[in-house]
Amino acid sequence: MSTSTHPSPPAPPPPVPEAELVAAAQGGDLGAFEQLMQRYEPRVLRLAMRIVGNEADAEDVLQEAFLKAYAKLDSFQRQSSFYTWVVRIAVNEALMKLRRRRGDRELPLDQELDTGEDLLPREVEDWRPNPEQQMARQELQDLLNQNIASLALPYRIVFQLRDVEGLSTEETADMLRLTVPAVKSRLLRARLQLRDKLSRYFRRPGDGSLPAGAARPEGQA
Amino acid sequence: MRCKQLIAELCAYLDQEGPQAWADFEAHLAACRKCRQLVETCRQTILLYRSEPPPPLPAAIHSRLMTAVRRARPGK
Repeated sequence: MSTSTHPSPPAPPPPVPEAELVAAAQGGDLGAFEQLMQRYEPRVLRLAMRIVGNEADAEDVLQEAFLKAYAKLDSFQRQSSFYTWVVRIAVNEALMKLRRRRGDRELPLDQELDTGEDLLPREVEDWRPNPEQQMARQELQDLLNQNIASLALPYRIVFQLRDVEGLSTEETADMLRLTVPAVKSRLLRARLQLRDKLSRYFRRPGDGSLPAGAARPEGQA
Repeated sequence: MRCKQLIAELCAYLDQEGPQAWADFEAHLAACRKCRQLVETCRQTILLYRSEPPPPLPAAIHSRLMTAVRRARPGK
């Protein structure tokens, strides 16, 4: 029983390390597995959403990914983080979902999409400082979602895995069955395309810019 | 170094990958305003996406998922 009149609530306990939760879950502790799920569900759902593009399919992918992770928990060797392992399962599920939806077996993940002539950015100018503070959180979230959704699948999946989920180039290549140079090439194009798209919103007022499709910016050799 | 070559090496520079020294790259940046802007706005693009937290998961989705997990049994 506590009669404390301390005005501030007690600090929350530090999060349990992932390795401890994994060990407990592998020992049959469903509560530990639920904590792992709660830790990563929002990120896995967003990842799935960005691959399959609609909420119903993304929720299916989330469910299949965690059900498979639970079923295969004993085989998880902890050579990667639990999160990376779940991401790998979720990416496979999402790609299978896309294949089924398209009615074919192959997705153009390893297709050469362009010749490299598109690499010079259309608009180059300074952005206003702190662009994340220029709009409300929901507005920014919508903008980021819309722009990544407009990229072709091979670009948006590589950007999502490398720059959002924080996977290495090698992990991304292995997960998508691509070569390391192919991942690097797609990442460059994805970053440049997203930068181009966001520049329309964040460029500093009055800074000179060229309309989309115009000739190469002055000063670029 | 020319702008096109800088763009080809942009990711390696932003990610600080590889063993190469960046003296030529940075000398070009110091002399080329457009490339400085490009590098900085690419960096900001990555930071915007990386720092954006995922939306909270609706409680109903977690409940459905937990119900499915409880019904399942780990493979032995």
